Amino acid sequence: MTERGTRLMARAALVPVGAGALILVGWPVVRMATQAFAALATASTPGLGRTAAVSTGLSLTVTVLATVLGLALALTARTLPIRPRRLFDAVIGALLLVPPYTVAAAVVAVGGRGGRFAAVLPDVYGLPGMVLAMVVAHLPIAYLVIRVAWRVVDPHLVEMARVHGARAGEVFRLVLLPPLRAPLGVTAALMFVSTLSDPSIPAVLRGRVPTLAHTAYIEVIAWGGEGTASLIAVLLALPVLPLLLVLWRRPEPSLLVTRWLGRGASPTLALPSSPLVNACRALSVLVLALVLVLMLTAGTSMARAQVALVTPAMRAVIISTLGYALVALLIAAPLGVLTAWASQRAGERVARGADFLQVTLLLMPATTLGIAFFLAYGLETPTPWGDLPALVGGASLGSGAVALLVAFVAPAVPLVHLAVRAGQQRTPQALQETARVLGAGRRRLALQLVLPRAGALVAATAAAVAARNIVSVVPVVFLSTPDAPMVASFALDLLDRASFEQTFALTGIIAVLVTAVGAAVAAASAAVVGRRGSL
Amino acid sequence: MTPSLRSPCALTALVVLALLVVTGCTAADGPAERDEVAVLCSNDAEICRAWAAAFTERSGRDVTLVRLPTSEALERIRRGEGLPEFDIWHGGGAEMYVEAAEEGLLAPYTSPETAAIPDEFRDPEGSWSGVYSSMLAFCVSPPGLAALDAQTPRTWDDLLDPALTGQVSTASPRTSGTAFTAMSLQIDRLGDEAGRDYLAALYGQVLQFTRSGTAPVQVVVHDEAAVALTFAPYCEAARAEGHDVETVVPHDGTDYEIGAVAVLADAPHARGAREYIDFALSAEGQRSGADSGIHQIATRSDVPGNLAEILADGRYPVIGSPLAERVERRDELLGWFTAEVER
Repeated sequence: MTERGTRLMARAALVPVGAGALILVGWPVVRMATQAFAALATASTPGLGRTAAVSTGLSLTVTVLATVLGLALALTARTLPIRPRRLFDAVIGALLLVPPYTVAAAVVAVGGRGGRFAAVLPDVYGLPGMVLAMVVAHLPIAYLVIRVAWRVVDPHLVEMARVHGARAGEVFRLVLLPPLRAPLGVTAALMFVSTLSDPSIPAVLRGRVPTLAHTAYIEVIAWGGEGTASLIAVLLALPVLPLLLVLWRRPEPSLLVTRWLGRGASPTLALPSSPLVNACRALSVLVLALVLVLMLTAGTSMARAQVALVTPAMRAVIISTLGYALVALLIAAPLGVLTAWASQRAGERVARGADFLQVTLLLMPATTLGIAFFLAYGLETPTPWGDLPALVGGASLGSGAVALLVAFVAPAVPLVHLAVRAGQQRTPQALQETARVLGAGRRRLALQLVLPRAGALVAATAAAVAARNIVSVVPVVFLSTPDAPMVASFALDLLDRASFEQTFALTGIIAVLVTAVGAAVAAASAAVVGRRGSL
Repeated sequence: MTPSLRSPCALTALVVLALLVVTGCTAADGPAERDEVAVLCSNDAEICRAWAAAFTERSGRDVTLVRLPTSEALERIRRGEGLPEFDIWHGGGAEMYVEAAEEGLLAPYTSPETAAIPDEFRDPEGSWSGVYSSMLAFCVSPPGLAALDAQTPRTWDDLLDPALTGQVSTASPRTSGTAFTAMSLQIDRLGDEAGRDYLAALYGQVLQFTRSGTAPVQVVVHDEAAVALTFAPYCEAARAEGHDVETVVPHDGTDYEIGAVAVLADAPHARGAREYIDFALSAEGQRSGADSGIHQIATRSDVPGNLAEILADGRYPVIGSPLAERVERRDELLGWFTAEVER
């Protein structure tokens, strides 16, 4: 096929995917924005300004604290020998498998009215508890981003700086900080949006402090506050806009997809003892102690439980969620591969547009997406061809399965797309051109050049998508009834009743399953990629 | 030519296939089976399941059960007019049923069993009937109160004891019929202005509002609060499970809910729906919820310990207003709660 024909085919392939995205995401978002403006015009949202101010302050505090602690932990880890560093990575990384509501429940189990240390700790309900839980829940993101970003730091550079008399603070400022600027900026922005749009920690710990995301959650489940919910959804999306503007003006995928540097640990950094290094170590010990206390308290709560930790309803919920997550992966993976393939071949401008749209979808707060979808498809939708039945909630088409699948697929497609695009970019253009001149066909190029380089990344992304779908809270909780067979909805229902022990048990089972499913998906993807690569 | 995964056609086909598999798997859950009854249930999950199981055992008909909170259920029924999904709405306060009946969303049906339900607990047109009731009460934790050095609250004013600040658990009246009953009672007890002043003070004592009306008892059981505002059967059920809690009906006035059942307009399985109503109104139906461990009060006059008997013997100081009045004040009170308390 000629190059022009390939380009046309690629563009044609993007059309149905784009149309689907427009119907399933674009239209709900536009409709939601319209409702938000109408609500703003009628000024029917009393007290929302105060709630927005409180939420913004809370998210800023959490972002700063999580970033500082992430830096301290990452610096300490990088100065450790490889084995203890891996242990460090495992402990902090494992927190990614713990949903935010479970962290909040652990905070209550430690310092709540009936908590193990209630007598010696101040009241955890309200801002203090929310800050603590959000920092712990978001810490691994900052930590892992910094750890990955520091892989490019050459220890010889640090050594050279020290030989020239630089102190630890100067090494940090001149050598270690520069590679962090872009990734840390983006990560801080994402953490801010993530904390702002999380309804689950406030659901457990808010006390009498209202937050934007939890208010939207109540508006949605109480039915009737559609104007307020849509206005909040728009407010939650606003912080993403400057980030999107930066990305549009500087379309480097590495800002979001950290460069893949293959396997192997980075060499240990030897930093001289200094107040900075010692402070980082002290903070790291404190954080690890806190995580340990939270985990041990959760464990003892389960051990002392007077109720059955695992119920038949819980088993049904877990099986159902696993099913949804895997089906969503089966839908999202080919769609992401398709859009990445088409973007590469449809020309530079189309590729830039497609990448940007995928990034927009990825960065859009899941709470905003959930509210938009709830408002658009919560009830039947009139169309020129008749009424489309309601897609949200237990009483809708397929008992709400359509909405839940869309909720899982929508954020997963951009992840796969960006992973494949990053994989494509890892294959040097000159190498591809040379292979082409030497007579390699497209199939051979893909199988023998692109796949072996991108395979590990694609496998890791597939595993991450499966894990994310099982653990994620939003947008699922906006699209399911309290006793819908979804882990997040079920857990929030348990926590509404202060059933902490069962929540910990549910989280433990899910963590084991996510690890197993993630490993299986990664192994399966790697096996497929490896087999193809050897053809 | 061998189809390749790189081909957009193959990928699109794969996606379509996956979608077909998914929708094919899930569409069978719909209420189109001939011997089924589709029930929208607005009560505790265990009670809903107990009702469904007892009906299936009696009639042989399968029950498609979807549980939705009362307010969401009404909204779903309201907006689903013309595309009926359910046959029956079972559970939830009668206030919502009054609204639904006024809007023509319910199909009147006078069951032979209706004769046993006193007039004041059912709609005169037969649109809905009360099938259970519960009395509003405090569920207190004696050890929790002892730790706070607080007395057991016996009146509503006792709840304003400074020692109980942050120790009262109640649901949000926006999501819970239980909490709205407690809210409306204060207006009946004290009048509009003084009632709102009292509510503002009471809500100042609340730790945080739960979503479900049955949750506050569990909050107390887990020692996160010392007093819960709830319907008495949920506290009694916790006590029967061995938890150290006590039910206290306030001396200065309480109220009760009437949980209702109704056939929905344009019910897809009309015959099955009428059978279900016959069952729900029967003595067997009214007792079947107790299989869940939660013992609610029957509305049938031939069941011992029924609601009319309890109201007549004066053991509870009931002072609630008529249903129609409660329905009328609902939107305004909830608007006040959202603006003045919640945010």
